[in-house]
Amino acid sequence: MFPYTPEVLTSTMAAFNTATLPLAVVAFALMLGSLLLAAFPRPGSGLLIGGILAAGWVWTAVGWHFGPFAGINFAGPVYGIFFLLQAGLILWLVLWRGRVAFPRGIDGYRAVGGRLALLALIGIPAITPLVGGDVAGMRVAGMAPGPTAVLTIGLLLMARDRRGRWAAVWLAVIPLLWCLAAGVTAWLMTVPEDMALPVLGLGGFALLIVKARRVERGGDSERAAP
Amino acid sequence: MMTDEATRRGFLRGAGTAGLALGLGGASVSLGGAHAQDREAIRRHAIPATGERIPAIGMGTWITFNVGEDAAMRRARADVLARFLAEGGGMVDSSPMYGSSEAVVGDCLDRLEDTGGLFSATKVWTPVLTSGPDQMAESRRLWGLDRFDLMQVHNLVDWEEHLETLQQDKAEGRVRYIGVTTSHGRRHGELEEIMRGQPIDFVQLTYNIVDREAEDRLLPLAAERGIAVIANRPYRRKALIEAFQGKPLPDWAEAEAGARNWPEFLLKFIIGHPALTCAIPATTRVEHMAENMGALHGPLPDARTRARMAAYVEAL
Repeated sequence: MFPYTPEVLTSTMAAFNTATLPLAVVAFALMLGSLLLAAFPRPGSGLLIGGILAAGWVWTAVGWHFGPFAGINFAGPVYGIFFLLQAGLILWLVLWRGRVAFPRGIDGYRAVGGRLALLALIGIPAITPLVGGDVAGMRVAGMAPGPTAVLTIGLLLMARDRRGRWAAVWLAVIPLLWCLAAGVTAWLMTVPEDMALPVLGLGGFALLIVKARRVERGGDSERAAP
Repeated sequence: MMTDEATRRGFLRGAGTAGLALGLGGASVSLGGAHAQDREAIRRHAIPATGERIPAIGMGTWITFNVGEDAAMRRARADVLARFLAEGGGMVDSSPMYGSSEAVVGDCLDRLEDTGGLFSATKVWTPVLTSGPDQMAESRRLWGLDRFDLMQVHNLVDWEEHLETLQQDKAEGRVRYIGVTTSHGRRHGELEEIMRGQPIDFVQLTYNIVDREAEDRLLPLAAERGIAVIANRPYRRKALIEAFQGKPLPDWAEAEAGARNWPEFLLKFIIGHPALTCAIPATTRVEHMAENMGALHGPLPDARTRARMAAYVEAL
C-alpha cells in the first residue's frame, strides 16, 4: 500500500536533517522560542509566533515534502501543497488579520496546549532513539510534519481569538488532517514516531472546539477550563 | 539522449557473458562460468510476439528498491540484483510510481560490471500534469539505458494516450515491447477490452495461488491473442510466505511440482500456467532471491498438479 518502509522513512529523515544542518537545531530553537513566547507573552508575541509557525510549515513543505519525501513517495508534493496552504492560513489569520493573540496567565486549555507543544518539541523526537532508530532521524518540529502539526495545535490551544471565536479551530484543521493521515499510515506500517498523532491531534482539536463553543455561549476562554 | 553510461551498459549487454565479475561495495565478486552454464539450463518462456525466450522468474522493485539515498541499503540492493542476474534472472520491473526505485535500480546496475541478461521493464504513470514522453526519457536516464525492453502503461492510467505514444516509440526503436498493467485484481474488464482491441505485447496482472481470477478470462485470452503475461504480487507481497512458512509442504511437492520450499512451490504454481511468461517476486534479501531463483530449475507442475497445489493451499 505504501511505497516505502519505516526504515527508509527514518533513513530519509536522517539524511534530510544531516544535509540541512544546522537547520534542525535552528528549527528546534525557533519552535521552543515560540512556546516560550506563548507561555510568557510580550507585546507582538502573536505576530512572532505566527511568523515562526508559518516558516516551519513552509520549510516542512518545501524542504521535506517537495524534497526528499517526494523522492520516496509520489504523494509528497500533494502533502506539500496542503502544508503551504496552512502556512498561508497562518500568515493571513495571524499576521495579516491579527486574529490570534496570546493571553497572560494560565488556564486549563493553555496548560494542555503547553503540554502538547512540549510533546511535539521533545516527546516525539525522543521516540526515534528510544525505539533504536538513528538519532539523526529524529522528527524535529519545523522540519518534520508530525511534530509541526502537534506543536501548532498546542500553541493554538494557548491562544485567544481576538475578534471571532473560530479562527483557532480553522487553523487546526490541516494539522488535524495530517495527524489523522500520518497516524493511519503509522499504524499500518508500524512507524512509532507517528502512532500517537491521531490521539494528540483529535484531543487537541476537540478541546479547541469546546473552547470556541464556550466562548460563543458567552463564557470567557480564560476561565473556561476543560 | 544516450549517456556515456548507457553506451557502456549497452555494450556490455551486447558483448555476452563469459563470466560475471561484480563489483559490490568496493568488493569484487567473481561468479565464473558455472553461472553462465546455469543460464542455459534455466527455465525460459517465450514472448509470443517474437518468440524471444526470457527467464520465467523476474524481479519486482515495489517498496524493496525504494531506499532513497541510503548508501548502505543501496549496496544491499546491489547485492540482491547481482544475485538475481548471476542466477540467470532477466526481467527487472519498476515504475516512476515506486519512489526512488528507478534511481536505485540504475545505481545498482552502475555498480555491476556486467548486466548481461537484463530485461528492462518499467512503466509510464502520469496521474497529474506529467508528460508521458518526458517521464519515459527520465526513466531511461535513471536506469542508464538508451531504450527499455518493455514499457507498460501503469494501472491503465491514460492508457489510450500512452499506448499511441508507445506504439510510435516501438516503431522508432525506443522500446522493444509494449504493454499495460493492473494489480490487486482491479479493472479486469477494461484490461480485457484492451487485450482484445489493442496491439500490445505484454500484460501485467496479479496472479498467485490464492488470487486466481485471471484464470477465468484473462489468461485464456492472453494465450489466444499471443500476449505475454507477467504475474505481479506472486506472494501477495509477503503475506503468502508468512502464512505458509511454518506449515509443511506436501510430501509430493518436489516429485510432482519440482518445489523444494514454499517460494518455489508458490512460484512454480504461477509459471506452471501455460499462459504465464514471467513472475516478478520482490525481495530485499540475497538469500530470498536465491530461493526465488530456484524456481527456474527443475520440472514445472502440470495442470493436474497445479490443481492439487491450489487445493492443498486452500485446505491449510
